[in-house]
Amino acid sequence: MEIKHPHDVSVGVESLVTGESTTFPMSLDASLKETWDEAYKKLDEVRRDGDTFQCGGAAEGKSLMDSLELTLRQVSEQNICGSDEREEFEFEIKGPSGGAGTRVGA
Amino acid sequence: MSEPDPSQPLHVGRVREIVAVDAPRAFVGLVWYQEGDTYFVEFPAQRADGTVDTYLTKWTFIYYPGQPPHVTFVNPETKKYDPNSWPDASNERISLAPTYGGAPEGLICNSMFYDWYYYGGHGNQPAVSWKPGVHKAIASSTELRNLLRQPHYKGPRNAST
Repeated sequence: MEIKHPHDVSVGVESLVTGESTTFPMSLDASLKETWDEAYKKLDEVRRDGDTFQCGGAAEGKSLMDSLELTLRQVSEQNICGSDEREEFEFEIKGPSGGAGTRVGA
Repeated sequence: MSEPDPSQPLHVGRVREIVAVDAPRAFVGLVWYQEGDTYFVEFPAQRADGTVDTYLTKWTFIYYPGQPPHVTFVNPETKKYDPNSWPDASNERISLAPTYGGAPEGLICNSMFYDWYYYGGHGNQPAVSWKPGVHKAIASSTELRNLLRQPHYKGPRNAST
């Protein structure tokens, strides 16, 4: 059982590769990169080349790859994921895929 | 007993069991229903002016989970493949070809869709390919959800006709 610190918030992360989800506590002062790393542990997944971290919830699909050094507190204060909620955060891990831009020999 | 090779085809009964778990996860928040082994899923698409269009897609999982689902856009009245029922949308990962070479039901040009491997002429690209035993149908539905948002979605393909 995990002990929740008074300054912890609840973080929910869904893997859009495997469909698995996890919820775990993080400090408001943890960075998005630390949160992303922790999500892999909780999901029992390893980071795949090309994986990206993005908002879930209201701003679902918005990339966080240029904001990984921000803390959860800053994510909330700057309303980056479309909500100023400070108690619960929702994120997603998206895997790589290819399309028309990766055609070979055509 | 050793684990089954995830790249090998499974018995149809086992495929049905797996899809019965994976499909509802992939379609959370969407309107969907099942007819036999075929799943029909409605995807909302928002235009730049805020108008929301709805597209009906047909999903089959014959080679799943070793290979991704086959997906096409269908006419909502007939529930059959119809090039005029496809949206006009593209982004850096995915493009849509309502008619394409020998593809019998058009081509969703992205590696999370079955036809990409057989009709798209993309060769072997491990970095972006479907990984048996890892990828689930949610990876495919996610690509369509993203594609049909702004700024990628432009409107119905047959809007001028």
